Amino acid sequence: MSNFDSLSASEKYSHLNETVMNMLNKPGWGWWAIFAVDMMFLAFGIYCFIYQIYTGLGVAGYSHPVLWGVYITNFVFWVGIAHSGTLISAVLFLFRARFRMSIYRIAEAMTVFAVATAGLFPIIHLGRPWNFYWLLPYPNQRGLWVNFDSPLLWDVFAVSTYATISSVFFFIGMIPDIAAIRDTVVGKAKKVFYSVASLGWKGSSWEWGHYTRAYFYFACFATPLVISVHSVVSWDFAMANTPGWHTTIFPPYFVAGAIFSGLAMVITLCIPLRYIFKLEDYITMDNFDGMSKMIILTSSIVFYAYLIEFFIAWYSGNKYEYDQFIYRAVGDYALFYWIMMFCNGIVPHLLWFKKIRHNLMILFIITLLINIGMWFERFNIIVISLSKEFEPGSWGLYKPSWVEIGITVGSFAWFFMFFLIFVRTLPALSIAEIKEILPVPKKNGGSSHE
Amino acid sequence: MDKEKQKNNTGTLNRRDFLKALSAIGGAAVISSGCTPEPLDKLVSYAVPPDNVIPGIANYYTSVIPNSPVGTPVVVRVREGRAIKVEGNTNDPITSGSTSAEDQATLQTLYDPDRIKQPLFRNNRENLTAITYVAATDILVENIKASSKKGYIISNNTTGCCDDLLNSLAEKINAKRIKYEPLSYENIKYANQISYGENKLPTYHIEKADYLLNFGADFLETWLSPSEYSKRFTKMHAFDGKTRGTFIHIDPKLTLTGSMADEWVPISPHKNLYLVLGIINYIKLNKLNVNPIPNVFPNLYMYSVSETSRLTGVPEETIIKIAKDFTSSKSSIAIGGGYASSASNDYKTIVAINLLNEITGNGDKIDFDSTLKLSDASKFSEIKSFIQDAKSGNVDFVLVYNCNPVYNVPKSFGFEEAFTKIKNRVSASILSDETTELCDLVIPDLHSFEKWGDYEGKTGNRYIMQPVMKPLYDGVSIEQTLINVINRIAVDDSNKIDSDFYNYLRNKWKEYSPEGENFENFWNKVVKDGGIFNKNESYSITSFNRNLSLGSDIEPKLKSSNDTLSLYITPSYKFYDGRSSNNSWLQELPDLLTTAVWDSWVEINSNLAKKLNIKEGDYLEISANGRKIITQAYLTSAISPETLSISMGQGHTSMGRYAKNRGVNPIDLISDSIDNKTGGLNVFTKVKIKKTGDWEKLVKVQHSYSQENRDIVQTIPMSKLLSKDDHHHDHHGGHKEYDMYREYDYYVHKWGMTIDLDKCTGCGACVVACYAENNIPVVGKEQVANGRHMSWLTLERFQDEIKDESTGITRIDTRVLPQLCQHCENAPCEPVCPVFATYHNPEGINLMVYSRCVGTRYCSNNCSYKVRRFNWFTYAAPEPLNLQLNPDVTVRSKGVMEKCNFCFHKIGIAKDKAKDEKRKMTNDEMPTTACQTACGCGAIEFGDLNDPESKVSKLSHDKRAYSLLGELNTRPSVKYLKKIEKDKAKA
Repeated sequence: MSNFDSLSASEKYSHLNETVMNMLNKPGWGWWAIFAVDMMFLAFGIYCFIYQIYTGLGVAGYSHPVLWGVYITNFVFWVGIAHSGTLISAVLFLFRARFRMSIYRIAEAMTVFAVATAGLFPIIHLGRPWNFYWLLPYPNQRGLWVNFDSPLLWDVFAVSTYATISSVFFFIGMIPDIAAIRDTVVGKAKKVFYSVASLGWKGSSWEWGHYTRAYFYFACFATPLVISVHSVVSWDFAMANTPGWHTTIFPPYFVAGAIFSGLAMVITLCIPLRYIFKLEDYITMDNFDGMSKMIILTSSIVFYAYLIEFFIAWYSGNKYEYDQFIYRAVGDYALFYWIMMFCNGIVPHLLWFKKIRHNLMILFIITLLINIGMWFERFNIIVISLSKEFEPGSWGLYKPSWVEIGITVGSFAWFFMFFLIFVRTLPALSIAEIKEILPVPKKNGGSSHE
Repeated sequence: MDKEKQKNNTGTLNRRDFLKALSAIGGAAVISSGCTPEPLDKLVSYAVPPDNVIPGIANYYTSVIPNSPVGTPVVVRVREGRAIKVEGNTNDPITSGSTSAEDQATLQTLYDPDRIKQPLFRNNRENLTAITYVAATDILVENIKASSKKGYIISNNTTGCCDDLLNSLAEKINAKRIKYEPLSYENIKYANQISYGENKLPTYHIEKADYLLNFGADFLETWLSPSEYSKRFTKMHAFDGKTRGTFIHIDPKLTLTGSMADEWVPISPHKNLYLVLGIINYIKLNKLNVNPIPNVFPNLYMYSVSETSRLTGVPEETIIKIAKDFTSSKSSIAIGGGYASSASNDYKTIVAINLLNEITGNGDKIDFDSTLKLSDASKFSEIKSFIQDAKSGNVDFVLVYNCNPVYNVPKSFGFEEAFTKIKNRVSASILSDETTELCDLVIPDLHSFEKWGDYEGKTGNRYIMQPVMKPLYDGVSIEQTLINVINRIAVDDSNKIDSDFYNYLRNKWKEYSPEGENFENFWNKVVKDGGIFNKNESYSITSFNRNLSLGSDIEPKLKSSNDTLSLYITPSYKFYDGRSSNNSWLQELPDLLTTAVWDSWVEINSNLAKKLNIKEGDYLEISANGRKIITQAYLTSAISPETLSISMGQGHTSMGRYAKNRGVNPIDLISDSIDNKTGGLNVFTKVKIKKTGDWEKLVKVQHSYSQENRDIVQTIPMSKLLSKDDHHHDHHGGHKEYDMYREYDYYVHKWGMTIDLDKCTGCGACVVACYAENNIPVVGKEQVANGRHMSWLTLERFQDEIKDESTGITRIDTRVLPQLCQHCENAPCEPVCPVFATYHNPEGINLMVYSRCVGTRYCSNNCSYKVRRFNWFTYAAPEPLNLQLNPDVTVRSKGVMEKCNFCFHKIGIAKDKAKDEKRKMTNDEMPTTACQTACGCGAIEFGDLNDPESKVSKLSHDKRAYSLLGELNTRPSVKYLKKIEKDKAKA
C-alpha cells in the first residue's frame, strides 16, 4: 500500500471506506480458528455455571468468612473495564480531544461488551441465581419489595443504567457508518440487516443537524455516569463496616482505577487490531500517546490511594484497620498485594518515557500487566479484607476453585466472542468522525492542499 | 363431642373448598415439576390422630439416657410420634436439668442409619445374615443348653432391672459376670478402700470448698460424674456477689477442666504423688496441719520442697504457695485420679490426696453415703482373667451386652484372639461395633427411648426409662429377651419369672414404693417425674484409717530424661470411651480446646515440636510396646514437653459410617500390665515419635487462637468488681448520638440474652442442643476443612500466652466465647440485604426469611461477628436421621443464609399458648432457648429485656456486662458477663 499521507483527499476518503469495508469481508481461517477456541472456553465456562447451579455454590472455593471472591472481583473488574469507553467517547468528545476519533468506536464496543460481561457476575455469584429477578422492584401480588438501603440494589440500578446508556450511545454513534456500509454491501441478508440497523439514514443535512445535537446531548448525559457507576460499585464496599472497605476514599479511587484499567484494556485491544487490519493510518501513535498519558495520570491517582490507605490506617488509630493493612502487606495474600503494587503503581511510570510510549510491543506488555494488576486490586480489596475482620476467632482463608477459574475464563471468552463478532459485522472505525479530521476533497477530485 | 365435631367438619367439604384444594394441589404439582430446584415430597397428615397426639403440639415424656456411667434423666420432646429433642429433667438434683453434648446427641444414636435392624446370625463362618427374632432366641437357648464349659456375660456397668436380669441369667447358666467399664477408676476405689474402708467412688462436695486443688481429674469432661461436678463446680467457683472459690489444676496437659482453673500448674507426667507428698511435707514442717499427720508415708521427709520441685518440674514457689493457700483457706479440698494418670501405683497418689484432705481437716467433704453405681464396675483384672480363661479354651459361651472390649481393651492383652476362641459368641447391641462383628449371633437391643427400664446412677437416685416412641425397627429390648431366655431354660414353672418385662419392672419398683401408698399412684408419679430422687444432701463423715502405712517402697526416682515422652490418653468428652463415636453431631462438634473435628490428632508441646521440626498437620508415628499409630500433630504450649496427648474415641474399624476408619485409637499402645493391688489397667505408656514425612491440613474450625489484643473475651479483676465505684463505661446502649436510623420501638417484648463467661466451661452441650433444635445440617470433614461448618453457636477459644512482667513467667490464658448471632439493634446485616430477607422484628430479633433469600451473602460479609452460615449445598442426612428433624423449624436448602434466631419457634409456641387463653405470659412460661436449657452451668440467660424484673434484664445491666465489639455501635441484644480475674496483688 502506498503511503497514506501521499494520497489525495478523495483517495483518503475512499481508502477509509475500503479499509472499513475490508474488515467486514468474509472472515478467513484465522478468525474462525480464534473464534472456535474462544467458543471452547465459553462452553467450558457455561458448563461450570450449570454445574454450579445444579450442585450448589459450594463448588466455588468460598470459605467462611470470605463469602465474596473471584466472582465479585470479576464483576468489579469488568465494570471497571467498561469505564473508559464512555470516557473516551463522551468525555473526550465534549473536550474535543482529537485523539479519540479513531479509537472511540472500539472503546465503546468494549464498554458495551464489558458491561454485558460484568452484569453476569452478580447473578452467577448468587446462592440461588434462579431468583435473581427478586432484586428488581417489580410489582407483585405478594407485596414484596426491595430494600433501597442496600448498596447492592444501587448497583442494580447503576449498572443497568450504564448498560442502557452506553449501548444506546454506541448504537447512535454508528448509524451514519452503518448507512454507509448499507450502501456498498453486497448480499441480500446483509443488505436487510444494515438497512434496518441504519434506521433509514439518508445523510441529509437535516438529519446531520439533529444527529449531532442528539449525539452531544447523549455525551452530556453519559458523562456523569463515568463518575457515578463506579462510585456506586465502590459503595458496595465502602458502605459496609468491614475494615479495609469502610473508607470514604473509595469512590474517587475506584473511578480512577476503572478509567486506568479501561484505558489499558483499550490499548490491549487496539494494538493487535491495528496490526491485523493494518489500521496504522488511522490508529496512530498520537492515539497511543494520548492514552498513555492518561494512564500515567490515573495510575498516579490509584497509587496515591494505595499509599493514603496505609496512612489513614495508621493515622486513624483504628486497630482493626491498622491490622488489616499490615496483613495486606505481609500476610497470607502478600504476593497478590505486591503484584498489584508493582503492576499498578510502578510499571505505568515507564510511560513517562516517550520511547516506551511509542514502542507498541512494550506498551502492549505494560497494559497487560496493568490489567492483571487491576484484577488483583479488586481481589485484594475483597478477599484480604474479608479474611481478617473484627473477630479473630472467625478468620479464614479463601482459595478459588476450578469452577470459579472456569467461569472467569469463560467470561473472557464471552467478552471476546462479542468483540470478534463486532469487528466483522460493524464498523470498528468511525467513518463519519475520522472523515471530520481528514482534509475535505474538492468536487473536481483534486486534493485541497493548503 | 369433639370427635364428632371433627367428623362433621371433615364431612362438610363443599364444592368450593374442594375446588380450592384442587387448585392448590394443581399449583403445587406445577411448582414441584417445574420451577423449584428441589423436588417437593408429599405430606400426608393424620386422618385420625391417636388420642394423645395433637398434630403440631409436642408431647414430653421422661426417660433416662443410660450411656454415661451416671445416667442422665431426661425429658424427651416428641412430635407426632418421633423423639426430636432431649431436655434435662429438672427434678433430678444431680444434673438439675442440664445435659451434656453426648446426651443431646443420643437422638442420633436412636436414628442412627447404621443401627442393626434385626437379629443376625453367622452360619458356618460366613457373613452375618438376618434372621427372625424367634430363630435368634432359639439359637441363643440352644447355645446355652449346649454349653458345657465356662460361660461369661460381659456388659457395661448395668444397673436396675437390666442388671438383675443379667445376674439371674448368669446364675441360671452358671456364667461369670463382668461389668466392664474402661473408665472404672480402680485406683480411687482401692485408695478409698485402704484409707476409708470403702471400696467406692464417693461424692466429693467441692461446692463446699473455696479452694479446689485438682490433680489431673477432668471433672468437667468425663471424671466420675461430669454433669454433677460442673454443677458443684459452678457453685464453688461462680461469683456470688462477694467472693468465689479458687481452683488450681495440676496436670501435664491443659484440659478443658484445666482451662477453667485460676491457675494451671504443668507437671511432668505421673509425678502427682511427689507433689502431694511435697505439699504434705511442707505442711508438716511448717505445722500448718489441723489434724495430726499419721505415718502413712514413712519416707515423707525425703520430699523437701527443692526435691519435689526437681522431681515434678513444678517451681518451688508454686509448691509453697499451694501448701499455704490450701491450709489457709477456710475450706479446701484436693481431688485427683483422672484416667490418663492411672498408672501403676497411682492409688498411692489418691491415698496421699486423701491424707492431705485429712490432715487439713477437709476430709468432711468426702461423702460415702452417696456413691456412684460405677463403683460396682469390675476391675480390669477380671477382663484379664477372662482373656486367660478364653485363651486356654475353658470358655464356650459369651454374651456381650452394650460394651466394646475388642475396641477398648489394649491390643497387647490379645482380647480379640482369646474372644474368637470361644465357640458361642452372642452380642446384644444397637450398633455393629468391633465386638459385635466378631459374634456369631447378634440380637439388637432397643434404644433407651424405645423401651421400658430403670437406671440407678448414684445410690438413691433411680430413674425410670420410659419408651417415648414406638421402636424404629420392630425389635425387642434386651430385658425382654433375657426374660424370654430365662423362662425357656427354666427347669420348671417355679423357676420362671414374669414373662412381661413391664410387669417385671413394676413388680420390682413395688419395693421402692413407700408403705401405705397406692402403687398405681406411686408408679404414675415416678413415671411422670422420671424416677425417685434423693434430694437429701446430708451425709455422715467417714473417718480416715490413721493406722494405714504404705511402707517405704516409694523412692524418689530420678527425673525422667527429656528424650522419653509419655502418652497421655484423655477420655473424650464427646465419645467418652468410644461408645458414642458413630454420631455425626459429636464428630462435627469441634474439640473443646483444639477445635479439630472428625479425626484424631496428637497434641505436642510447641517447643518440643520446634526442636523436632514438626509443624501442625505433620503425620507422626507414635510407637510403644511394639505397636504404632499414625496421626497428625497439633502444636500447643498448653502441654508439658514430656507429654503427648491423644484423645480416646476414634480409630474404630467398625461401628458405622461416621466412626469407621477415622482417626486412631491410643488405647492400642497401652502395655499389658495391670496394677496388682488395684486390679486396674496401667495406662502409663512411654512412647517414641517419628515424623512420617506426610503432611495434611489438620481440619479445625478455628484457625487463629489469639485475641490479637482486641479484648474479645473481657475480664474484670475481683477488686474492681467489689469496689463500690459504679463507674464503668461499657457500651450498654451504644452511642445513640451516632445512629443514623431511627430507633426501634419494642412495644411488647424485647428478647435478649446474657452469657456469663465466668461460668461457661466451653463444654459444647449448647452447640449440640442447637443442632438438634434447629435442624442444623452436618457437613462432614471436607466441608469443615473449607470453613463451612454450619453451627449457629460456636465456642471460640482463645489462648494467649501472657508474660507476667514481674515474675517473668508466661501463663497460658484460655478463654472461651460462645459466639452466636448478637441480634444487634443496629444490625449491620439488615440494611445490606437487597431483598429484605433478613430484618428486624418488632421484638428485637434479627430474623432470616429463608424463602426470600437469594444468597448474595452480603449480610455475612457485613456481620461484625461472623455468625452467619451459608448453605453451600443442600445437606441431607441419610435416613432415618431425618426423622429427628424438628417440624417447627424450616429445613434449609442450598443457596440461603441462616443463623441463630433465638429459637424463634419456641417463642412463638410460648406466646401462642398465652394468646389462646387470652392472657399474658407468666414468668414460668417465658420461652427458653435450646442452648440455655442445655447449659449445665447456668451461663446462658434468655428473656425479655422490656421487663425490668427479668433475670436477663438485671444481668444485662450488671457491672460485668459488656457488648462484644461494643465500639462498633451495633448494640447487640446479647450481653456477655466478663470473666473474673483473680487480683494480681492478692495472688
